[in-house]
Amino acid sequence: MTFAILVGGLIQRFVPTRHGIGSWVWLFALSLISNGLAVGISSGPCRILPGTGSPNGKFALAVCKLDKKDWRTNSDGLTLDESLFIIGLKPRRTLQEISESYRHSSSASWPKYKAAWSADSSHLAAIVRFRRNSELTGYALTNGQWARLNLPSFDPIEDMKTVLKREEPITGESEIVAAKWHGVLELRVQAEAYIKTEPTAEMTVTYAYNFGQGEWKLKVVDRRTRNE
Amino acid sequence: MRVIQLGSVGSDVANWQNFLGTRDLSPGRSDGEFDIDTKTATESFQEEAGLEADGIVGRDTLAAAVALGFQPAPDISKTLEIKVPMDIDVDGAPNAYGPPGKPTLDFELNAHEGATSSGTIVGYIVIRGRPAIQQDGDPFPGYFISTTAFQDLKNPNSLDPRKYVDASKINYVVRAHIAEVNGVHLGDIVAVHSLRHNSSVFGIVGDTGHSSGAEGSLALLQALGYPFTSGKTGSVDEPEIIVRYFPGSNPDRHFFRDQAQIDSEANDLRLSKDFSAHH
Repeated sequence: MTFAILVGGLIQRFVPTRHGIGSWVWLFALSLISNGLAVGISSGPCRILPGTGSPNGKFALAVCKLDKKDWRTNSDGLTLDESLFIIGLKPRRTLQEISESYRHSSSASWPKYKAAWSADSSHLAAIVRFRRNSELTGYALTNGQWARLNLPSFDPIEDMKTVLKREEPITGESEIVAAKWHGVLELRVQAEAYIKTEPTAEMTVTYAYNFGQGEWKLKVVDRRTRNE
Repeated sequence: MRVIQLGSVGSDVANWQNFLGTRDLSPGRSDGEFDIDTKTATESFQEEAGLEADGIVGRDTLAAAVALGFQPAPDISKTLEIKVPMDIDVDGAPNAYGPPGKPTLDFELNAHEGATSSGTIVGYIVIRGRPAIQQDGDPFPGYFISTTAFQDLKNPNSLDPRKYVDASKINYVVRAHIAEVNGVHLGDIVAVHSLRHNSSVFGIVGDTGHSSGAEGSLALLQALGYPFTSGKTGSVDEPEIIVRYFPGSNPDRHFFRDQAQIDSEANDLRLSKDFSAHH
């Protein structure tokens, strides 16, 4: 990463010149980026996730290879060698890792990703679908930097257990099926929860995040349970 | 309900035979085959109802029967198709999850919310903070117990792995939301086709948890020709799998013990796994 920043600095220093050294560094840096080696937070190839681009065409979500020094091994013995990033598209560069907790193995099937952008491309809800549930992380572009929003978390399975007064044993899954910004002060999220121990049941729940008095608050807007 | 007559076969015929039997019209065995006994009994019913006695169960005969309490079987001629990519589901397999050191079909962390060890375990049964363990006599003693939404309702033991649909042996799909809206129930039969391999198989709706319907059992994907051996790696990333749902095709929620039973039932119901129109 240090090397990448150094190259970035060199680009800034030399690109405006018309001398040979500036052109050489520019070409060298371009080759790094085209190989996915980015200037900024992460180094390593990035894979832009289809359908995650911002409305203004400037940003997208991408899965990027981590620096080898940042690799860790989890309790299943998997090497966590990739993570989810916001990347800039013009020029292409990594801007912000969504969360260290989303680091995963490039050899595993999961997780999967979606993005919900505000219409002005200033706010992002990054949705990460794990095998059993989805999580959502919000970001806002402030003064050219992507800052994480302090969004309270929710757990549709726990909500469903509470509503249905269910105790252990519970097996199930949940998923965020949609997220939509209304301006930049409200984010609505629709989730599905499934309980797979008898009596099986399903629930659709709509959450709303609202920003007011300096903080994001979470409330349940609608909740519908179904039995087979 | 479709028009049924001499030569018709299916669960709707068996349903009709049952009805005739309740009226002491001697339709023969309720075996789902519309034979000469069923035709004669049908003609007797039509005479009683003041209808033309042609032995064909059409609209008027059906209406007369419904007025007497007959409940037609759902119309399984109405199908619903979706085209999706497909993730691998190993839920319900008795070796899906187990303690460290045992070979399993999925990563243990995939049973946790957030795929981290601190996440709540929802992928196998946990009682008072400890995994329920399969006992001697169970399919995989020492392993954990993975569940599916479709279950053997005649088996009251929720800790019996056989209560759930074994993803390693049974072709099943996860029910799409659009299918639920269109009357597809857990246990209903599906036909599934791979455009890549030009292969088709029967299966059931065995689980929930993925509203797009883009998830199927390990056995299903293997049967379609994909080289997967577990739920740990791989998926069908392109929308090349067609799932044809047959709403109402398992009204009794019969629990199938093996794939041969599903294939047999699908054939008895004359369900189609012909997808040639897609090529």
